[in-house]
Amino acid sequence: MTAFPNYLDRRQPLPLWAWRALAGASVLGALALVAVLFVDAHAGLIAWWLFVLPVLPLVWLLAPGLWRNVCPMAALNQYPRLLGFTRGKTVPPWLRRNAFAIQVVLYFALISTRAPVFDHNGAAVGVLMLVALGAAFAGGVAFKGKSGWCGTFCPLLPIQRLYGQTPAVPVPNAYCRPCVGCVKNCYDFNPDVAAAADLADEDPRYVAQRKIFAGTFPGFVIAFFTIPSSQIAAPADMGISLAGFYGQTVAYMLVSLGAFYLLDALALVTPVLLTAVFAAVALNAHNVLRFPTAFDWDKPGWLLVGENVAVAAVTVVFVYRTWVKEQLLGGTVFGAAQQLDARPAAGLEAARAASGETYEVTFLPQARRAVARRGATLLEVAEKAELPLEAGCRMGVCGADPLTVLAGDEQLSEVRSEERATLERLGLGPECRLACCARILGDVRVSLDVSAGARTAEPRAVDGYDRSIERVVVIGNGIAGVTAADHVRRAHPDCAIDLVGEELHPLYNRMAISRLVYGRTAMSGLLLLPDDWYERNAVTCWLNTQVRGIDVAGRVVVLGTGERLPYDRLILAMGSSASVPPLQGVGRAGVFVVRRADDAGGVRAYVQRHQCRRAVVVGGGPLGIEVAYALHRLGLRVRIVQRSDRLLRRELDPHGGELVRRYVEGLGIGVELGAEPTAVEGDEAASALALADARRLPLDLLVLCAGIRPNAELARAAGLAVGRGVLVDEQMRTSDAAIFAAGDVAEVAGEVRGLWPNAVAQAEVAAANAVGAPRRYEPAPPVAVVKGIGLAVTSVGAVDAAPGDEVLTVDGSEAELRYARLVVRDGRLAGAAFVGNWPEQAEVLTAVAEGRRLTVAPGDGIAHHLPRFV
Amino acid sequence: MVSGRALNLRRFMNPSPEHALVPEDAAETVFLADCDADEWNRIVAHCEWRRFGAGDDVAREGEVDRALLIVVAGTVELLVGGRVVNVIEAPSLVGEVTFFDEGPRSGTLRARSDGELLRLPFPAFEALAAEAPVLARTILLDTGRIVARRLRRLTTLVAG
Repeated sequence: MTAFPNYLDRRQPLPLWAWRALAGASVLGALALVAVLFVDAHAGLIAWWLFVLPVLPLVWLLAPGLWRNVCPMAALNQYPRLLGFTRGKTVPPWLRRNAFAIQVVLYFALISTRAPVFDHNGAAVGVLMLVALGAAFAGGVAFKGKSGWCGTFCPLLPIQRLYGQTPAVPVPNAYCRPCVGCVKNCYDFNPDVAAAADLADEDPRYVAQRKIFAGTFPGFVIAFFTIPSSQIAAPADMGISLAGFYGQTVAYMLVSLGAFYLLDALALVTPVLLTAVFAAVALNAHNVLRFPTAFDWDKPGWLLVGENVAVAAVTVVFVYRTWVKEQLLGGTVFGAAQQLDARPAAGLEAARAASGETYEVTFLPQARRAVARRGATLLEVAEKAELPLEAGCRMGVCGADPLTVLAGDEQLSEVRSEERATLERLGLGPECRLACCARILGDVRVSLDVSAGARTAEPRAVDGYDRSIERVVVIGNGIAGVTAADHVRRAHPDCAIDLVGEELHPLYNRMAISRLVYGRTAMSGLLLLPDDWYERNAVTCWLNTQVRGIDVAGRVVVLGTGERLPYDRLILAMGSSASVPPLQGVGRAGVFVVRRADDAGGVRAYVQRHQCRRAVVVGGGPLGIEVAYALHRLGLRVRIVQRSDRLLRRELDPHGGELVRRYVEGLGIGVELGAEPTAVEGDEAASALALADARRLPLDLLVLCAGIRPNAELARAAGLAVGRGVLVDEQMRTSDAAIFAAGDVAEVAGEVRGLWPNAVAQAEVAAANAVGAPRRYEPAPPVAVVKGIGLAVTSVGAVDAAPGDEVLTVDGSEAELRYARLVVRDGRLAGAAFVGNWPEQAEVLTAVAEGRRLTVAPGDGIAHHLPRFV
Repeated sequence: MVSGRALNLRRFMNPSPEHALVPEDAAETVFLADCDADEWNRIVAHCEWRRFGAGDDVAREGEVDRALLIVVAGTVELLVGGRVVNVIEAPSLVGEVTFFDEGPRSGTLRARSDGELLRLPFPAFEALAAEAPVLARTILLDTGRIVARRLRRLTTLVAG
């Protein structure tokens, strides 16, 4: 798999029990030697200095793994782990950082004390060995892996790593099963690479420690053998003072180190090879200079020469093998670095380059730095970042997404009238924007916290209002009711305003309630007004309060709680309810509509309580699709049942509907078109939906999204003229001159529009007329947006082409799912629909609202025309 | 250059106290090497495109965020319990475990350098898949390949 297998990848030459036996024998051997040192120091010292110690460097050079598996210190160090009583602690970081320095200092200190002490004192050597064995064992009790001795403290490790950096015979570690990662660049893990990895470490201090040791080592060896001394004499007897002895040793080491750094700086060879060369020099110096005579026993000359030649040959091979290894390592290492530059990310780079101008948007308090393409809205960017900013109408009307611009406000598109009006309603200053309206044209910094931008309502200079109006009552706390109350207050600073709402919540973002089905944050983020809004505007708000009746003659609203609210002007904004199709069994448990926040919350609760798995949504309009998506995200298997032959029948042409169907099915949501539900089946709870074609769709939950029905009962009971909704004229006045109506409850010119922008416009007109400032409502073309399903769908104005209309369409590529369609009637833009994101969309919507002229030559593509608006 | 060397040598080495596991071989975990600019654009259209600075915590251990994080520039390291267990270089992928099992993030991602990432939350992936099934299949297979590669890396280390 790799040119440099670690110990786990290598085959063990011996079974583990054999290694254990050898290690045990080695421990016994060491203890025996200690005994000999105490009993017969002379023989012990000969064995130690002339046989054990001189052999070790060669073992470390050729087969270091052999030593490491049988070293008595390592064996004792590993017994606590093998027998399961190690505490297994991690060596603290400061100790890890300094481990190598500790080893090196111990090593130099011990070896340089040979002449003064150990060479002629058997007991001292014996004690030293016992201390080392004991310390190794204690380290094994305390620390994990081999970090308690071999990896952290053993004074022989630096020299083993130096000599053993390219073992001729790899003997894999026989202890560590598994590797516990106790030390960095563990020598036992991969001897071939460990020393090289040390030298390639990113911490220069770490590298320097290793280089300094390798650099000083030959100097140390030469000093040790050449400074006048006799192997069994104390320095005092050598004709040299102790200070002189150590001083000279250090001087030799510094010369050696200087040579190393000189060569390193000249970079004739790589650091890895340089350390190998210095190791070879040190080992040969050791051999050539070592004392041929010791303890009155001479090694024969032929043996010495033979040994020297053999060691020289071995070290030359060692340096050569290190060079070869480094070529291999370099081939992988430095080759990989080159590959890195040519890594196959060309497509990604091209895409980044093709992104055009991008800017950085910083969102606080999250300190999120988003990259945005030119022209994207702050809302689009915030939504992708899943920041807690709730989208509403996406047209600047509902005010769901205000934020404060901290820097770069000139880098955002201009504020338009709807946005300005909404910011005013929210009581926010000029440093605030609505995220859905602000398009990014440069780097900006914004905060989701708008409390800094909130200001106390400045007393408005209002004149010409009707002082005879003292009491205004608004029924309905939705967007129409709140807008009406707001505009009454703007035009009339001192009348009393009572706002009566049936729901539990202050004004919230009704367009986002499907999020209540799958999200865990319930109402947070959905409330649209600051807490003190009602108080600040002197509006008396009645929540969770029902209206029992309206006494038109007496001009009194009677509440369900018994209070009576007299009025001079009454504005009806009761909104609408979900219309429930007359299906058999529709009253069973598990059948829901989703119109209010509490409905959506109820669906989520029911799904949990009954562990629902399958859901059916009746209705393939915007709400049906949004609810189906919400249930899908909650983890249910969902099917949409749609009576007509396409989804979004009122918003899109057949091709657009087909694209949306493909998308919805791609999400894993089933779509049944042309399906007519006939009955809800089940015992107590709904368990299936029967269709006209005799199919039965099994379900645990049924949601009906079959349109809306204006809440006009109160008005009807009060004797006002009511059609589908409360009939109003273009001033939003009902059949009673003191009563106005706006929003979903109102029927204007034969139409009831369940859309926010219309509700806002109507409420403004109703409020103005209520306080005596005549204004006319001019119906705007309906804008429908499907929100939060991962695919943008927007439709405005005419959908179906009448005879004589010109229709322009442009399709995205097969895989792209983008589609735009314009309907041109009598030379004016009468309708438009968009599937997917189109930067031109906002401008086209305005153009439709204004009925702008558009000249179309036959055969012109839409792509040709779209940029004209921008 | 120096750190590049260090990274690449470290992959031969043992998990250490600072680096609990050997960093993966960046060449083996390149994400979507064969996608062209159009395909990347489609992906970018569904992603949050985020910038980060060296030292930033890009994601935190324990947080629940079912999203793929595609590192498109820079290098991040994965820390578990304060120890570095992997180093990921752009263009590659992180967060794949949470993306599949919906569990909390198993580690903290800390930026080693300035960089950028694309964050693809699960719902956005679903939208992408509904819109472009072939591309989604490519993404899934390549994500699976990287998951497998990383699993293999762990297996070899644990198996001993």
